[in-house]
Amino acid sequence: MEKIKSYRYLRIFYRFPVISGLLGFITALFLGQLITLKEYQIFLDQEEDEVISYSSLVEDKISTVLNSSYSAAAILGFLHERVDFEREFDIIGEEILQRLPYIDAVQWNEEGVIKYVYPMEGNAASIGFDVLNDTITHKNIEAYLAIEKDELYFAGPFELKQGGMGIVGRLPINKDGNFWAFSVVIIRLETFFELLDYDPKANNRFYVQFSKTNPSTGIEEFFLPEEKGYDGFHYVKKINDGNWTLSIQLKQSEALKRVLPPLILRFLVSLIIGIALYYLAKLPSILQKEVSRKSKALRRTIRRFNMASEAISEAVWEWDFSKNKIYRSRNFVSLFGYKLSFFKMNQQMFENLIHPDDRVQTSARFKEFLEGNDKFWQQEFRFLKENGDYAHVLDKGILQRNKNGSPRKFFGAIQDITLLKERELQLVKLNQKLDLRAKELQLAFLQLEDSEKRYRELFELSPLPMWVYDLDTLKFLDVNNAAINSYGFTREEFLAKTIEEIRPIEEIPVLEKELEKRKNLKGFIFSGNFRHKRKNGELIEVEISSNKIILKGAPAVLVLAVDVTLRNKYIAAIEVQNTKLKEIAWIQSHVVRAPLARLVGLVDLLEMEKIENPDRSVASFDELFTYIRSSANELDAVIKEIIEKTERIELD
Amino acid sequence: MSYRVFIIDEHEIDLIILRRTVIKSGLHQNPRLFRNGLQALEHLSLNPVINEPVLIFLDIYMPDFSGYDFLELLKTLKIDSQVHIIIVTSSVNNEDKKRMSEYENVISYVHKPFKLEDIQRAGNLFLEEISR
Repeated sequence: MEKIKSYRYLRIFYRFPVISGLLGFITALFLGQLITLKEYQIFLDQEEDEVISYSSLVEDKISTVLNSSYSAAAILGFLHERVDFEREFDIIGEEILQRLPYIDAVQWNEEGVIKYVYPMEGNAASIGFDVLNDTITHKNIEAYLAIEKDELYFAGPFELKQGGMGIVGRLPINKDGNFWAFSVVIIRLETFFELLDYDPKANNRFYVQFSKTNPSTGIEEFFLPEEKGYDGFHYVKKINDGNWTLSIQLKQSEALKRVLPPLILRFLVSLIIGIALYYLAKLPSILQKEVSRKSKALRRTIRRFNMASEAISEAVWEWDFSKNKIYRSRNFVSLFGYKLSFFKMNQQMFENLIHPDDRVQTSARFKEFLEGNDKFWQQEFRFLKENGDYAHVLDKGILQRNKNGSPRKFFGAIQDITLLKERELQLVKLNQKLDLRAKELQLAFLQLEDSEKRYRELFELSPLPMWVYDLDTLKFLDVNNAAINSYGFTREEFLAKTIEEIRPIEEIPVLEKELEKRKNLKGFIFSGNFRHKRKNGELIEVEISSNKIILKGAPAVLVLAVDVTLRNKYIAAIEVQNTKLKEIAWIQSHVVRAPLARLVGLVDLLEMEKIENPDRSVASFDELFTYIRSSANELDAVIKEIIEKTERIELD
Repeated sequence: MSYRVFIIDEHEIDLIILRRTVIKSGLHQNPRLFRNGLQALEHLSLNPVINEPVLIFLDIYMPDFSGYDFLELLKTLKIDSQVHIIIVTSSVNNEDKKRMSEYENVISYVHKPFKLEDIQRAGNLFLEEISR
């Protein structure tokens, strides 16, 4: 019962940590400051005690003075009947002053008039002064007060008749029951304060003041410099012997100052206690929150796991060796069709469902795995489904072992990879097909490469200068060795040039015209003869044939440039020869044929003459014969000349 | 209609052969012979031709003053009217033949060695020409 009650308080304490902390703080503050208050009061009391004890010291000193005064006055009163004051007052006075050091002077006053004084020095002025009738300085009032009281009564402090401030103690002496004389003691004020051992100018802890209500004016007069504004304990004492008021005050109360540090300290301690309590109260709620957060996360994880294990195609299992229990997830049902009985199946029963061809190997491997040191388990096997089919499965697991290596817990998943297996088979087939295709392609590629190489070589090794240029930029893209040899530029120089740069300036317009033509035509073009410039500046005549091709995706032109400089030279030479030959032919037709024709003409004439006159003698034809011989000789000369000319041509 | 016949040839034997052939052909009984074209032109300008056509047998190949020179000069001297020319040449060059045909008054072309008939045929061409 008690326990339950305290538990309830604790629950309230833990539930409202702020209130708990605040409460703790207030309580601690209250208790602490109560102590501070008590301390403050104690300090005040201490100060009061100090003031009082100092006061009693002062009082003691005053009473010493008063007693001394009384003794002196009493001695004078006792002696005046036995001693002749007229003669011996100085001796008595000296004696008294020697014994009572606080008294400055003694006087004898008969019926109000001062008769004797000791010491005379400094006091002589007072002789003969009638106190009772002094209405000027009102000394009579206090004199009568002393008579009335019939005991030692101190008058003053006031201005003494003989000069200086002082207090005057008067003891009335009666004769026959009536007042007769005063036995007087004078204490100068300096002496009095000296006795009190109080110097108003010094830095004292206490403020001391003497005051008295002036009997003639009724105004309170202060004997010491008046000071105000002190807050310490104030002690006031009436001294009846002179109607004086003694007031002593502690100048500065230090009680508050002294309790201030503990006050602050206690406040801080209370604050710490409050905060500590607040945290103490809050701790369980923090912990509780943490626990609920963790358990929420845990619940989420479990839910996620459950959902995930249903969503995935794998069946999850867990084998606790210490309890020899196997947990299997619901997916076993959907994967293999076995109903709930499956969950209770032990390892041996499970192994019996493995395909006979895989069973021995799987069991052996599993046994070996359990006895070994490996952590990861993986095995493929065929597994009998409830419908009688075999599924290809992949079983994977992680084994936790005890320190001695024996199995503790075994987690894993079993996956139906039947489809995967089928796909794998298809993939293998596809791969084989692809391999075959790849080989074909490779062969084709090799052939292509071979032919490309052949064409490449045809270009490179061609004895005729060839190059390829970009149709847009006119830059050389490639040149063969024959071009390099013919033009004298290196390959690098060529590739940095455009085709315009191997032509003399006057040929550029021709080139531009050709390029315009080239752009609109496809395929092989015989462009004709142009003039090009070699590196050494030599001009050559070339016959250009070109073909549009696509090189690296851009339109380009393959050019075959045959140097026809020599050929053209030969042609020119042949033409010269031709002209010469023509000349020969012309000469032949005129010069050679002329005598021949003449011969034929003469022979014809001869025949005609013979036919007309058959009887003519041979001699009558002499003229004609002469002509025939002459022509024959002529012909011979002409032929000789032609042979000579022909020889000359050959020599040229 | 009367007409004159000139024969211009550098070579003496050629002149004799052609003269005899012209006579034999019956074209003209007394053709005038010139050893070069300039003499013939001189003769023509000294004996102006009015209504008496002239037939000239002209050889081409004459080193000093060729047949062409003759034709050109004839043209520039404006004495070519009524002058008909038959070219007689040993040249078988077509070039020559082509060149000759450019001259209006060249009416025929006879190759050496020629037959009597060649001269007769060319003479007939001339006779046809002048009878028009």
